[in-house]
Amino acid sequence: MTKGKGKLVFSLVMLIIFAGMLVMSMGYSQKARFVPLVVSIPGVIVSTVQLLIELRSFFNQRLKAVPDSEKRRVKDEQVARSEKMIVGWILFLLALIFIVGFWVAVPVFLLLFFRIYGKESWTFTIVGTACSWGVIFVIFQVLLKVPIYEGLLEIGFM
Amino acid sequence: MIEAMISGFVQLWAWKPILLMVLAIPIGCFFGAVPGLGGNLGLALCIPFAFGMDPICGFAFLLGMHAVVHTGGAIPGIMFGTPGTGPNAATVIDGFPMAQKGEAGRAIGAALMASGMGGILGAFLLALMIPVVRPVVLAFSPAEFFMMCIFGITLISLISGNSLVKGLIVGLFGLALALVGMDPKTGILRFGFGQTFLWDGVDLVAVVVGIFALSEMIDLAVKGGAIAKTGTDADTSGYGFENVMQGIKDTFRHWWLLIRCSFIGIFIGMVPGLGGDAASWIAYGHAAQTSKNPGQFGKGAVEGVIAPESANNSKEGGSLLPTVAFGVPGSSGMAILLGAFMILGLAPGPKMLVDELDIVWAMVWILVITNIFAVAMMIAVTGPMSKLSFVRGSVIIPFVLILVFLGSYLSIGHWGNLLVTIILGFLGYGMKKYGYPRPPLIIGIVLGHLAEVELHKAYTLWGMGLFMRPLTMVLLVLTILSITIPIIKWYRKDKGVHAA
Repeated sequence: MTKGKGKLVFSLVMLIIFAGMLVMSMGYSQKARFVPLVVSIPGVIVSTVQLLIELRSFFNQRLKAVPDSEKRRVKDEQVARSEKMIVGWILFLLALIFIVGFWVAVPVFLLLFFRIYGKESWTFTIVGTACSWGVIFVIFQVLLKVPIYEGLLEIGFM
Repeated sequence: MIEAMISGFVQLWAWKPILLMVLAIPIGCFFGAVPGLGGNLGLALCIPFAFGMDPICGFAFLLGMHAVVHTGGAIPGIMFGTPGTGPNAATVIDGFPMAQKGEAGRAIGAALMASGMGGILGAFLLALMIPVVRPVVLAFSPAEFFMMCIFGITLISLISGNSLVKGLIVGLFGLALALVGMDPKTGILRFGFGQTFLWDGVDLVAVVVGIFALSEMIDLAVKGGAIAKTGTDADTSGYGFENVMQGIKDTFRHWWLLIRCSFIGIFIGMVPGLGGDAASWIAYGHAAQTSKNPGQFGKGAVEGVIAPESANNSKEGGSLLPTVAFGVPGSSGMAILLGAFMILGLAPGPKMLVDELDIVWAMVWILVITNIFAVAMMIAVTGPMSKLSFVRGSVIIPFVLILVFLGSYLSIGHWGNLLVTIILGFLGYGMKKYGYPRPPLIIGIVLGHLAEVELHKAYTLWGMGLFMRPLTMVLLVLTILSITIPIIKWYRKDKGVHAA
């Protein structure tokens, strides 16, 4: 997605959020919807204004001939690939935490991230993972004894 | 009074209270620096250790620890864009861009000195206010609280950068997030999507780490390299002790801003219910409003670090005032500390100001001494610590991601908070990428909820007459001025440009 298109999509997302809020507010009692309406109505107005600004600049740019469009396209593709990759890793960490809990997710994630994403050596990967996991475990489990989410599997077995 | 002041000071200068204060400082800084822990958890975990201590030792440990929490909280905010505590979020806005410019040492130096000086000023004002506290606190009713929140919300326009429309969208989105949860008037669950963890509203820690830390890590992964973008990897010239000293000098260079923001912090801390987040953001907005270079805010202005840091430490002195004088906690941390008063055999209230005045003065001295010690101890480790921003992204990103998720989970103990963090992290990245300013969102969420609660209370008490109260009218005038002055300034500047 080009930056111009991205801007357009982002302002549309904001408009949808405020419009959704406005529709939901109408379902509440008169007293409960007062402040949500005070926020959502100007929200819809300003995000519509922003969407129109983005639309105008998007079409203006399309009309202009851009000399380095191929270079820009390659850069946009690179950025999109990096974004997809890091978003994938974040969602992977979330899924790991949800399924196996923090204590298993943390070392598994660190090990895979260092090795695959960071292309670190095996020594760095193993030592880095062990040290980080150890520090986190000692602080949160041994010293502070704070209850940490144990994951769907652990809860399921219990 | 003088006798009690000297007695409080003398009682502290024994080896045991000094040792406890020295021990409390790294503990407090640690709880401040790890996102999701915070001073309240620190106090709750440390209170059992105070059993059996005499009041002076107990407060040297507990109050000493609590007083320096935000001093530690600024460091991860500046280094990784991950504020340790909610009130440190405002420091990220300019502290993190300074680290990206290779000025992490300077930013940390300024943050530490501003925190220390703010804490000391807070303690001194606490001392001055002890005899006259009652009428000042009682002058504030829900109507004045509401107007203060509105005054804070108008600051959105000041920190919106180049695009007011984008700033308004983000600010309104923050206000919308503040409405999630039970309606304070009717008890109806609004925008809760059937999730029980949203009944109390969207958790601020989840929002802050999502909007700032997670989005910064995505950005770092996309751009590659390290947090500091100073050219070559070997260029660590902005990270030495002399840079920390430059930050310290900056704090004294902006001494008038430091004093003003400390007063803002003290005043907001004194008013129960407004909280430390409001203190930082109002101080930040004030700094942006009065700066000669408001355009630099958000891009690495040192005043943007000094203002919130001085306010969030000075507010501890302010919030101790109603706690000691009336037994009404000025903040959530002070509510926990109130439990410690009981454990240590003290009953806070007007009688304490008569019978136990030497202990009250000892508390003032604890705030002063721990803030001085904390600055000295932290400065010693700042130089090597600031070099962390040169570590390559592929090593820093997984640590920060894990800290973000741990902090978000620990904040309310529900994994649903992780989803909130991720959604807001992706939105935060979108905002960063497409030029939407992120600070208005936090102002919206912090002050929006307070404004709604106080509006309902004030309207029930006075109807539309809430705007006719003298102090409310003063705040209303200030609010109108805070909107019109920047417009007039902008108009004059624009006219000047056209005339040239």
